[in-house]
Amino acid sequence: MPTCAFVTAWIGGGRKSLASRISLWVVLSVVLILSITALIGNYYVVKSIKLEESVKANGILYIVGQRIDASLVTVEIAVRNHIGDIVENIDNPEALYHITQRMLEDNPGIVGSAIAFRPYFFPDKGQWFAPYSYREGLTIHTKQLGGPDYDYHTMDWYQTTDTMRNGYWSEPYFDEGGGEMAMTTYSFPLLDTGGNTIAVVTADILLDDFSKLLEVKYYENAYACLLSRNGTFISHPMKELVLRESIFSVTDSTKYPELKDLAQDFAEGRSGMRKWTSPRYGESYIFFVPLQHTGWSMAIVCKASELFKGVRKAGLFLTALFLIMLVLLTYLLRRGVHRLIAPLTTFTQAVDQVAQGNLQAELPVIHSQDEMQQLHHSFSIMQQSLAQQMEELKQVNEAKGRIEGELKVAREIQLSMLPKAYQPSDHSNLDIYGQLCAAKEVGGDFYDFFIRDEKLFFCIGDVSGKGVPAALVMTTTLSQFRNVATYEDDLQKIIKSINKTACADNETVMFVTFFMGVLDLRTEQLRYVNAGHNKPFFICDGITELPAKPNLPLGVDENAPYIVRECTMQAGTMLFLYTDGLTEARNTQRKQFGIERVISQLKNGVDSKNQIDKMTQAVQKFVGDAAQSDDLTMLGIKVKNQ
Amino acid sequence: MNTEVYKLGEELDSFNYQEVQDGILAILEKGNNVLLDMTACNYVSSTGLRVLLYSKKVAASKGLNFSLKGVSAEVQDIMSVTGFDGFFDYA
Repeated sequence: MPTCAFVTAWIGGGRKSLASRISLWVVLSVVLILSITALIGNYYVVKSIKLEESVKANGILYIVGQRIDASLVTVEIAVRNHIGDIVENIDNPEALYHITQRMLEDNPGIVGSAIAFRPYFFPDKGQWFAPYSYREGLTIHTKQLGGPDYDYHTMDWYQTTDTMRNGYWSEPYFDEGGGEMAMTTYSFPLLDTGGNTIAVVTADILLDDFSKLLEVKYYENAYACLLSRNGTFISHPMKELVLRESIFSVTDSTKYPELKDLAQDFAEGRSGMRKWTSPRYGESYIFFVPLQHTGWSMAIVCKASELFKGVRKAGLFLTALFLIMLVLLTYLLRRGVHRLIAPLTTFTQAVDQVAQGNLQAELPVIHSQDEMQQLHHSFSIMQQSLAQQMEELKQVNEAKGRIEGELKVAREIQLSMLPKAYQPSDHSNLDIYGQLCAAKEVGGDFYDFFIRDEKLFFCIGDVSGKGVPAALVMTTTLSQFRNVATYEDDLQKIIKSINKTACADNETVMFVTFFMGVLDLRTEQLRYVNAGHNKPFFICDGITELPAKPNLPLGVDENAPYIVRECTMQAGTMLFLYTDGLTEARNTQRKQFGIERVISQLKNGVDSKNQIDKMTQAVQKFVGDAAQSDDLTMLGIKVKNQ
Repeated sequence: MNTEVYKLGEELDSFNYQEVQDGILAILEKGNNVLLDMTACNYVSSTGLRVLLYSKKVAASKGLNFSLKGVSAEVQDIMSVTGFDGFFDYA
């Protein structure tokens, strides 16, 4: 349907917006509904037009019929009016000629009139006596009609009238010798007192006059025709049919079977309307009525399109109007829908802005109390909660960043608390080196050493667990070691003091494995105490674990006993301390570095830094790409040979 | 008082200590004794030791028992190195 395509193209406009689709939907719905309405409307309009036209045609037929009847009645009256004259002059046969002559003079429509007497009514006139007047041009001639060559007593009009004893219109006929004029004759009986026919009075009229009456003016493409009781055409635009053909002969001989029913209607004197495909007009309608006086039928044949010309005109007009209205509707719909959903477009823009991070994006102002209002409400709630969450997230991130930064600083502070290498000028033979490889998180490893009163105080420790709690415990333990060892020589007292601090309020059971020793630099005597820490190694000619009873770690039991041991550490011997981060360092297969590998890396005769570097390389090689999960701390102490 | 068995995997270290600790505490929370089945376990890190220590402490505070079972030689070594010999109850 080209209209649809046009509408689609017009409102679609390439990009299928919501407005376009709504408009298209509505327009197509309207087209559908109006088309159905038009079809139904058309059906009823055509039906009512048919009825109306049939009424109109019947009206025309009625009027024409009235006129025909009127002219027939005029003739009948004229005939009857002369009956009195005839009766008055019945004894004077010659005067009867004048009566027929006067009949013609008084009635211009009558072309011939006769008074045909029964045989031997006037004995002296013989078997036939019929005074007769007729017109020839403007002249009226009079003669006696009957004779052996015109034996009217045997003729139809005479016999029928005689039998019926009443007025009678003859079947139309051609006037013999009178110029082939189609005529009909009214015959009226003149009866005696016994009711017997004395004479039949006749009046002839030309059928041609009716043709003029039948010229239908109301339609452009229509004609009327007149048929006799027998179905013979009395008047028809096709002159060759007149009096030569009847509706029966036409229906029998030609291709119009529809006319059979029509002929039946005529024969039975019905009126009505029939559809017919006429050779002249194609699809046509025939309206027909019977005429009262003669029993004739009259019909109008009218081209169908002629009847529905008005409807078609109106239909064309309505279709054009409909198309214009459709265009207007589409235009208004587009505007209207655009207007209605304009907030959606603004919403889309606002959402885009929100998506790009502008949470303060301006929302469209909605005045209507509808779904748009709800959408606005939901959207602004979403926007607010988004903004709130973003703000919270920002704060959390800031806090996290701050904490991370602070933790990093804390870690640095923690590491800076540890002494690195120590080479005091007055103890040039002392070789001491410590290293802490921190895991990513703040950890709990630590070590320390210092010299007081020619004694080297040192320790190494590992707080179980990680993170800030471990770091805090580590700091506390380290501080406690420094504080107490500054003035106290008794290891037993030092460790008890540290343990007491570690146990205090230790709800989460953070314990510390801890090794502490004091090396008297003058006597080479080493005293030490181990609180659950990995046993250090002595490296000299051989490699031995420092014998130490593994007491409980710090922070487990406030009253735990700690046993202090002592031995001699000769010059050239290295004491190698480490945390479990060394032995338990794992590679990607989760294999531990292990105590054997540690031992295999320990060498006599190297200084502390070299030993620790060598160990570090070995561990790094073993671990490979695996992430370091724990702090790794090593401390080497050696008194060099002088 | 019921005793519920908690089965350890191959290792108890910083990778799974939280899960184990939560599991043991959940049992203690129900008011049941805990029997830690360490048959499969061959390594306990210092973090793992802390879990055992903490569990024992929590159990004691509730008047419940926390005992170990099937301690392997390797784990026993770790225990003795760190001085936890005889600190825990063995079932």
